[in-house]
Amino acid sequence: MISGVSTIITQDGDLYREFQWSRADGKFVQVAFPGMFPDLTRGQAEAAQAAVNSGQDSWKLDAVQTVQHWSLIGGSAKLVEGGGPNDLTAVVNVTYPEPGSPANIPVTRVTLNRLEGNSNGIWEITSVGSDWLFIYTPTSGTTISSPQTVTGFGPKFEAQIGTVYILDRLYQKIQVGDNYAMAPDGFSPSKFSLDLTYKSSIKGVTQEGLVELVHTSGASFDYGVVMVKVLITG
Amino acid sequence: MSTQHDIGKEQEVPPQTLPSPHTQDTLQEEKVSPAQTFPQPPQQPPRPTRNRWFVVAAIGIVIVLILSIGAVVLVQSGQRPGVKDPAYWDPIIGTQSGVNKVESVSLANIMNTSALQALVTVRYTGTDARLDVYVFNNINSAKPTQLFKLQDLVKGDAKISGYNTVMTAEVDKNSTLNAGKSISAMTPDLFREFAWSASDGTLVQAAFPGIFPDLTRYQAEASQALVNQGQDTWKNDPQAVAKALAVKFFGWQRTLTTKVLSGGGPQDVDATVQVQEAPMQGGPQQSPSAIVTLSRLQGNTHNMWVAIGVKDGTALTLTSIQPKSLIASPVKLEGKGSAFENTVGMAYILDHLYSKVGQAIVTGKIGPGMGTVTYSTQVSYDTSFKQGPQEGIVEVQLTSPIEAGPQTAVMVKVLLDPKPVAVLGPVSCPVAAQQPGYWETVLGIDTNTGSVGMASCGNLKGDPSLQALVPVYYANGQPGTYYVYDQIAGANPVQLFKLLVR
Repeated sequence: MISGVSTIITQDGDLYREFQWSRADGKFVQVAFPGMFPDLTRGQAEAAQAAVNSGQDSWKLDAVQTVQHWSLIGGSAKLVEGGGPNDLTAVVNVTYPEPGSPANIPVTRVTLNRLEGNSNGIWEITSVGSDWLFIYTPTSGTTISSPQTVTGFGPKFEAQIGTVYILDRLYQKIQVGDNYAMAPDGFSPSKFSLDLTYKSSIKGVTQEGLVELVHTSGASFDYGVVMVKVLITG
Repeated sequence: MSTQHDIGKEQEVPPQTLPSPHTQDTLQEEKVSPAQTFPQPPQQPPRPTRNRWFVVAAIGIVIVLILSIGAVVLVQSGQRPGVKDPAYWDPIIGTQSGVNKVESVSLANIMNTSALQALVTVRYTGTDARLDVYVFNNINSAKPTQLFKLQDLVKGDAKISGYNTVMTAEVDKNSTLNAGKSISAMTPDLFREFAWSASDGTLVQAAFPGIFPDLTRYQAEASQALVNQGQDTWKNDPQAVAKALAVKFFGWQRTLTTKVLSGGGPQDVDATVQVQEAPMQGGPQQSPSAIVTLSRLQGNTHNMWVAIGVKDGTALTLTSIQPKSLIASPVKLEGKGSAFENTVGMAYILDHLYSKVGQAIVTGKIGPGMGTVTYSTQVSYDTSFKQGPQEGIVEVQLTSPIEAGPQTAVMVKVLLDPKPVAVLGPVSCPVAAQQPGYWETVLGIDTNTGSVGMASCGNLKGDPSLQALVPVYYANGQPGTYYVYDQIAGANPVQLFKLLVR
């Protein structure tokens, strides 16, 4: 079908794809929907919008509740920007406090946008980041293939900055083998580079997915997540 | 209550400050000769004889002198007859002998001031009898000011309306009436109206408020002339006009009844009439009905009635289109309607011949899909006349699953811009491309092994061109292939994209 932004959205079983006209290429090319959750593709998001319009899943009209519904983030969510009835964007800070944790604990910053810029649209998480933990590559919306080099930056704990995952269209982890983002030297915070292998369940087809970096340490409040939306080749 | 009604009323009130149409003065080229206006002086002086012929000759000379002086005075006072003379305008416009020639000159207060302007038409030789139309101001100066120019009206005509607007007629070569015919067999079928706009400093196209029995002022004034001669006197009855409208646009076949809700009397210039079709035998007792608003032509109680809008009392609204507004394809139609399984009905864009040049199924946008729902649909249309806007109608019909005709309808008068725009989201496909059979032919589908689903369209290339997404299904009903085609209004759509489903 034709989407609300004049792209072609297709459904093939549980595989949703989106194609957009490329003036430079003179043909339709597959593109990534910017959303990560509650919908990973535009086809699913527009179906979800229709369901909300008919009275279902009204939590999707609340930015904070949308963040709280995503188990990959969890934590304690607080609206810090936008998110009102007339707003098209929202920023929610997520922390993982525990009794006795210090005042300035790491914050994961979640950005949401209303679907297709419509003030009646559902909220879609479009960015999960922070000012202390980063994925440099791949960048948002790019196409990855296995093995994929993932680079980033963050604090280390016992030489490990975090764990990197590749999530497919069903949020299933499809990376294979070593996925630890290790600090190359003794400094913290530090850059990292990791060649990551994955195995797609559908060969020869490109699907939408996520690259995720999760930082953990000995303290539960010292936790953070960053994610990048990508197209995953099969 | 209705804004349509009010606007139509404003439009059809007789001009208060404007002179009557009788101030117009139209002369045909054949009727006036400059030689007749200015007598030639005598060739030789009369001989000094004392007979009575000398006296008669002297008197004649005096008369000629008086007439000549009078003519000079007239020219100096700005009333020279030459302004009304078509030949006067040939050098001003720059016509070429054997190619074109000024055909007529009409004077009127087109700018709504006390000064007269001239409507000058220029006819070309040739089988298509093209007409150029000019309007000039400062018509008595050596260099009149050109206010307006409209060229190449095939078999064209232009005249001043009762409102001192300029009305034109011409052939739309590609209309359903004329397409495929020789020029000689074509009929002028496209009528436009241009009114002075002080802000633009020129004449701009305007919409006549009427939708039926006439869509344009040119046609309406011609109809009025016939009514004045005793023809089509049913047009003097608002209920008859409303009933005829219902038959023409809704196809209601059962007995029709009408009820005047307001106005409609001999001294009224407005009327509201409810038209109702008898309920279907054995069906629901709710009768299909619509409310027709009418105005007398030019707000004159002696004139015929013209329907200026159709609305519904309760079940259907169309809120996104203002009467007489200029719309472009695709046009977004929004409102509320009573839905059955989320379907409200059909939307149509009607051109100057009431032909359907755009259509879409109207479905609910928000809500449970039964009862009153809001709708929003983008309807594309493609007009046959590309040289400028034409008068047309936006219509939304409320349908029911058990009746062929609509339960009710809303109709709004508009100007249809031929130039499309680009919008986001799905829009209705061109009328022909909505038929699966059209795509079966394009794709060469064997209907024994597959079928074509409902095509959807959009500005997928990000420009005003329209593309179609066409799904093809296997015989078992499962999706097989998605195609995208470009140039879908042409004879040979071009395939842009093909995606095989796993």
